[in-house]
Amino acid sequence: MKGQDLMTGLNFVDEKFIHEAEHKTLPKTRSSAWRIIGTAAACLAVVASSVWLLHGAQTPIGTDPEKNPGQSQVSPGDHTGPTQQYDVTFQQATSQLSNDLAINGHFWQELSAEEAEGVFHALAQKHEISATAHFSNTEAGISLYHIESSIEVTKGVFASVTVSPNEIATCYVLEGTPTPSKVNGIAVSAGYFNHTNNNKTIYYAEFEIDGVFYRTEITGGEAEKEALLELIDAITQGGKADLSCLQPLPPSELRNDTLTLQQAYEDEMFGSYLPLSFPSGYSLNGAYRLMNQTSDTLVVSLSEGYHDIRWQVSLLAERDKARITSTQDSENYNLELYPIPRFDSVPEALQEIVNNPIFLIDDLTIDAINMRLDTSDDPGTTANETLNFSVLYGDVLVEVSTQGISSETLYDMLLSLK
Amino acid sequence: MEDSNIIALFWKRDEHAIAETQMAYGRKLKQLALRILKNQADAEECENDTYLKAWNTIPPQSPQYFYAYLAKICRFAAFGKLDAQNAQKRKAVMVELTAEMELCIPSTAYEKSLEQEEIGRQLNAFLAELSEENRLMFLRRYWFADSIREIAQRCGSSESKVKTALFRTRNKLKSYFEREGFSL
Repeated sequence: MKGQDLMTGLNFVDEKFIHEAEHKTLPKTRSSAWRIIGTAAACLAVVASSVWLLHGAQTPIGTDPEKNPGQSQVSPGDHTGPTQQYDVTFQQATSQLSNDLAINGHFWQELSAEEAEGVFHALAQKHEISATAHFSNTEAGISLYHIESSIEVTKGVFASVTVSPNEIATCYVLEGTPTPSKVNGIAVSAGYFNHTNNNKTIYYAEFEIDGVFYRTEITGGEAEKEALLELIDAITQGGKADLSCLQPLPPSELRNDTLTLQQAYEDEMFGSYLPLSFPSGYSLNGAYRLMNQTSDTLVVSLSEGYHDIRWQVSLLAERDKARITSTQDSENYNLELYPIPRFDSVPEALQEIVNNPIFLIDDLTIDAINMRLDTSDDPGTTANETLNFSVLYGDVLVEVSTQGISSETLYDMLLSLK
Repeated sequence: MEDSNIIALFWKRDEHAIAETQMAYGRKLKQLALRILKNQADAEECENDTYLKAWNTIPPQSPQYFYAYLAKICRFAAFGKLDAQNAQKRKAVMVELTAEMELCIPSTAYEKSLEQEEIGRQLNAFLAELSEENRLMFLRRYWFADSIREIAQRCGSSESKVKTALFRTRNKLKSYFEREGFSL
């Protein structure tokens, strides 16, 4: 066996490891907005296990909570109900995985009181619940993607509950074999994740009731964990959510259109904010027009070999204003000042603006663009210069992200919009 | 488009599945192949082979981790091309990575001929024993052919820490092979 055999043998590595290596973000030594901006969120799990007990009148054989502080005892939420006994195993998660959601024709709406009662049954009367249903509106019709809710389990303590007609992509993947526990006859996979950043623990559980999928989550300590168990008990006792009670009302303007380049240029609102021309040889990867309750944007992506241009046009939002900078303030955007890894080198207060500064078009200079040049030592590419920043034209924001394009070329493209 | 929707297009035999896959992952697949082959034409061929193989295998497959599934096909294709090329033409990066992997092989195992799938099975068992951080660094280096700098950036570590971690993981892999007796 030779090194080449090992390299080839790696082809047979389990896809879950590849997925993990592609999506996982390791916990950093300090909380960092840069990390949140630069990567998708994350989560995942390796087993260790502590058994938490949810029981009524009896203690399970062989368990004595006084002798074993790793176990807790909680009565079911309905204290007058049958004395049922559950062993719920929380398996330890050591990191998180990202799950990027892209819902076609996405729109959402708050649940009314009646809808909340249909979904959460008796829980809706006992607890404060705020819930939002997320829908997909396509040619095939309107369908529920999932419901995200926040339930006040005890005063000031909230658990999140996701309810979906489809299997919910877990963001906590167990390294070992999951060992579901039974609660009211329902198989519940539970786990916990310790945030090294803030010493907080997330407890979570996933289960299915007759074709409706649930994920519950709470952050805190022992008391919160026990509150989560009571919540799981109440949900599983109440039976599956009645999703047919939802009355989706799609907004009048909802777009998620794939466009040709010509159609992108013809877009009434944003077409004129595309450059007069793209460099020769570039072909369209894709263009789309997105309009929903929070986004109103035109995106065009082109490439030529390994050179890429992504051009996004939208209206300046309130949240963007903090990223506007003068070219005089180079500490806000000069990447040469900040060695990699930048979540360590960029001051926390500047992370957002350094990640994606917004220049006013009349203030933009070639020197400023040069300071945004980032290089990659990617061993496989020759197009290793990347540029990423935004430019403001009145109240229209153009965000550019390129690889392998010279500063001068990009500068000319941006000036062509003036 | 979400992975599950793209997979649904494959199942419906809708040719938009290829375009959507390319939109979502084309660039990453090309880069993966390019890192291994260092030749744009070959890398593009691998990328296209990946779409074709995906089209031919979904259905019946319904991959849980779609990108991992595609990337695996792409890596297979790239290594297939690499094998077909004269070893002397291999690019420096692959030579470097292969040389690093040589260090994981116990001298007693060097002459043994092993099935690739068996090596993969052993590597899976080894990876399952690693900490998440070491597993990520190992796979980013030897599966994705990332540079040390990229791994450091991804993991929020210094480059020296990554190098040290990889060195220790290679030694662990060597010990693992020795421990298993390499009776493969």
